[in-house]
Amino acid sequence: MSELAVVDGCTRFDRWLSAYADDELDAMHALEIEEHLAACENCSERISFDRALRTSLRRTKLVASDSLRHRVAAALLAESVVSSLSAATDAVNSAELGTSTCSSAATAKADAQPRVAPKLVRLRYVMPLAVAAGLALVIGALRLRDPATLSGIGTTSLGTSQATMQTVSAFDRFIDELVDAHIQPSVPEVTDDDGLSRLNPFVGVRVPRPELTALGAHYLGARMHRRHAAMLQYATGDRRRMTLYVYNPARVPVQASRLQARVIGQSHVYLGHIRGYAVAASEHDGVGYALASDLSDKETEDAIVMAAR
Amino acid sequence: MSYLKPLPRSARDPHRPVSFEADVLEHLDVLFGVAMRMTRDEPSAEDLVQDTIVKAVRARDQYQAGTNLKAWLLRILTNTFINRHRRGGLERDVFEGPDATPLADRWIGAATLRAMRDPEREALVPMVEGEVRAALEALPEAFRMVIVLSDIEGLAYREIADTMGCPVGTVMSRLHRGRRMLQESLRDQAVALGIIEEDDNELAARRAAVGDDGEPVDLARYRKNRAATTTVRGSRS
Repeated sequence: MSELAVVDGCTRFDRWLSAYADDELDAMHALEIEEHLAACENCSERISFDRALRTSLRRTKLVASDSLRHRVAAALLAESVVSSLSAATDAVNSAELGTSTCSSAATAKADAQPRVAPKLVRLRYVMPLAVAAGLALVIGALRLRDPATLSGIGTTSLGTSQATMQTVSAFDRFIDELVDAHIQPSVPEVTDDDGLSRLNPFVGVRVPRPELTALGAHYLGARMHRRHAAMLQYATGDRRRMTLYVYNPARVPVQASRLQARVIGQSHVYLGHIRGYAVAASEHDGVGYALASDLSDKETEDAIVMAAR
Repeated sequence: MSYLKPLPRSARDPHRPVSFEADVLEHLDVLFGVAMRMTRDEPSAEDLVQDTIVKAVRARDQYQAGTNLKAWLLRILTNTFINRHRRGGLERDVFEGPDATPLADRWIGAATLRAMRDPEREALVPMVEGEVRAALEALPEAFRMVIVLSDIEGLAYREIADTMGCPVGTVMSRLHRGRRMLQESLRDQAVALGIIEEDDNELAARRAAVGDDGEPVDLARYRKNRAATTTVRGSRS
């Protein structure tokens, strides 16, 4: 293909490239573009860039907080109470309407009585009520960490505004949980390698046991942290501790957030400080690692590199 | 062990009786994600999500079963946001905003694009990735929204068109322009961070191709210049 034909193609196809990268282009245009892409490095590089950009954008995805879930469940519960109340009012209203048309108020009332009861228990109103109540209970029970939201509809909005005032990504939340877990360590559930492998199905990845003895840190044991991660604990001779999360990065993608991206040797790592603790994260072979540590920045950096390889 | 019990999710279990409320709650993350990009602060976003869900439940009779619930909910969210925060809505912005002005296409070379990409992770290099959030925030709203809906929340063009109440063709062109704007701002960031060098030859070629009015004059001439400069320094860096 001549240079001129390629350039002509670029101007012609440029506006379709995005749609092609999204698989949204019809077959005819797609075939034409593919022919052009085979000849044009610039356009094929644009497609690759669009796809890389999409992956990176997807890592900024936000998730609703637990407090919002509680609040919405409570609102739905309130809504279904209102709608069943209004159903009752409707029934009464229709009875009242009846009085104006019927000659005898007494017979209308007698008519109305049996109509109210079945309407209230109609599936349409009872189902949402039950579901909303059930959801509120289930969500509440699962999230006992946040007891303010259990106490009812009136207090939930208060809980929300206090809980989170800034934008946090799923990864930021995850790192916050890690630091919480590091500050208040729980007793390990398993201490041997066999026990550790039993955590694999819960984490969704193979949980290795990284050796950090080069830093003077010894493995104490591990336990599950909520549903996300295996939490491995280490301590040095002078009682400084490290808490390592091993998790499935497909669930919580590692991303540059409050942590700074750095390249150390062959590994991409993320480093920073959260509430005075050195924190590091990395990803290797489809396994995610996040570390909160009492040790120095340099030692934490070394530890994450050792863990993620 | 509490971590073994997932939340009830009707869509994942066909045997569970489906309820409208439960279906709506399935989309809570998407609604929140989009609300955050509109309001830019969490308390307002949460208010917006709650209002949307309450409205949806009240208007459930208007929802046609089998049509796209996510798009329907997002439409309610968008309308609620526009009614509350702005008179005039998204569209006027677009006519007066950057959609009305031609996209000054600063042609970014293949070598530069390649340098910003990490082929192994099939993502941008971590340093550039760190700038993505800020670059997205800086986009004009109409473009930011299509990119959020498409790239982040994974909606199809048809669903985006339903959400924004515009033709699919408009979705396509806004996505295209929005991504090019992101590309440019990330490229500038990458230069500022020293990840890629501002290539003098490329700049010169770009200047040569841009007339006094800032419009690309002759793409063929520009590319010829570029081809000449890239052969000099070797096309792969």
